[in-house]
Amino acid sequence: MKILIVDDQAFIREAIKSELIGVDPLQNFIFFEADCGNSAIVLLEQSTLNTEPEFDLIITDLKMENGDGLAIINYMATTKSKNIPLVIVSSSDQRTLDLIGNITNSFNLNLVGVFQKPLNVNEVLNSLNNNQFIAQEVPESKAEQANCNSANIASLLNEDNLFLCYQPKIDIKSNKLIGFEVLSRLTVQGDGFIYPDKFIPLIEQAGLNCQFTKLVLDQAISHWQLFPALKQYGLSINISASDLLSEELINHLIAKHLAASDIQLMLELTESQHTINQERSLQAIAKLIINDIPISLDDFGKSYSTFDRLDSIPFDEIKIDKDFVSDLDSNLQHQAIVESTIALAKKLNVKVVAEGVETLGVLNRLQLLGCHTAQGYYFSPPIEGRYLMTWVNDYNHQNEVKNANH
Amino acid sequence: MLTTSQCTHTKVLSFFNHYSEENKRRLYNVLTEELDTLLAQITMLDSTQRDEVAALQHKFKGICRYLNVENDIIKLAKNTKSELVANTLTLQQLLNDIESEI
Repeated sequence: MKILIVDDQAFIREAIKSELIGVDPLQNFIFFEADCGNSAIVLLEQSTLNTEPEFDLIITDLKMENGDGLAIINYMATTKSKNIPLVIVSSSDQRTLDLIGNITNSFNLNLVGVFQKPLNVNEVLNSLNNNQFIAQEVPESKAEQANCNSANIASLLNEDNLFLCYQPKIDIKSNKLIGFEVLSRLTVQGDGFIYPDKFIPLIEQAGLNCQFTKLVLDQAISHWQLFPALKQYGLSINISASDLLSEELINHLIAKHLAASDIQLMLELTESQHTINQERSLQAIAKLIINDIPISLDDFGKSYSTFDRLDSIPFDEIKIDKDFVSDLDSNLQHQAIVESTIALAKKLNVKVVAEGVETLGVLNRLQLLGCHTAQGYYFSPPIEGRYLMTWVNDYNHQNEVKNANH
Repeated sequence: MLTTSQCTHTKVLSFFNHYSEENKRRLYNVLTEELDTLLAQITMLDSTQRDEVAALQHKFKGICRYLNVENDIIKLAKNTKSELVANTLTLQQLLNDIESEI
């Protein structure tokens, strides 16, 4: 078993090694050591180039000079090392460790755990022996299987390959269906879905984001026009901050809205984009608002400048990111964040949508906190367009029955 | 009943006795070297260099955690140079005291 131990203190590296040997004397441990993050990254690079063996486990300290634990996490997130089981050890307090755990998980690393010193190697080895954290070859993603890459993304972007799904937004108090968020997929000749986390970066890189937003908008509006019963429900479409820089797209959005004014269109602006506060972006937002297109602030809480944006842009709605919502009934920190966000939204007279509602417990908690709208798998996963009317009818029927019984 | 220093002594000794003969001697040597280096680094700092002192205090805390003596050795959490020097010297003295027992 090849283990890379990263710590700036030789004594701690030795202690971990001795502990591992003591706990599992039959295991053939091969240890590699690094006294800082940068040295560890060099070893990982060599490992990727196959000049050194691939590691079965990385144990790293957090606070080090010349590259800390976060530098290793960042490196791993973008390379083949992503799948190597990772153990983080630190003398930091539990809240810091929780934060690091959340960051690491957001990168989808193979995290075994974040532990306080001294490391309990028994716990680590048990997890590894349970086969939960086996180092694996990075599998080709579905998108790669479906051959989606920077060379062909332009040719893939057309009506035939774009596939829209709709996730319902529910009024928490009345349980009524009030709208849908449009979520896009690409499909190449029916050969499986390519999800946005794969194709959106390629689209952005190729500068095709406006073309893509137009395609989504046009297809979703056509769908709403095809089924007039859907017009009583809101239609929320995602736009990125870079979309705001295109005057042509803004004019297209406004023209579409004016031509289909009976559709309750809303734009969900991803707030993690750094360009959002540029003068041109603000002008574009103002133009949309003047033309009665409401704007929702998506992924609220994920960026440092969230509050600046609330101050400078009159949003109609904010959507609390699912990372804060999904464990709301068990995570006190997340509960505090959601509670204060809802209180802030009330003061600003802005509606709040909680994304990532997966359980009744979370829904009940949101209701107690005064949240207006919920979205998530508790109600429904994203629904393919062809099943949308059936789902709407079923949901409304069930709701009527429930209300009649009360 | 053991006094505080006896209790700390026992804890440090039991840390080393937990390992094989070969490993405990190696660990002892690595630790004494590490503490020598740490003390040298602390003494080179000016007491006003608070961030640097705090960084070394963090390292010292890590060592104490492994030895299970964090609460015995680090009484105050002021991150001052003088406190860190005193604590490091205390631990060095303790290691000297137990050398013959390892």
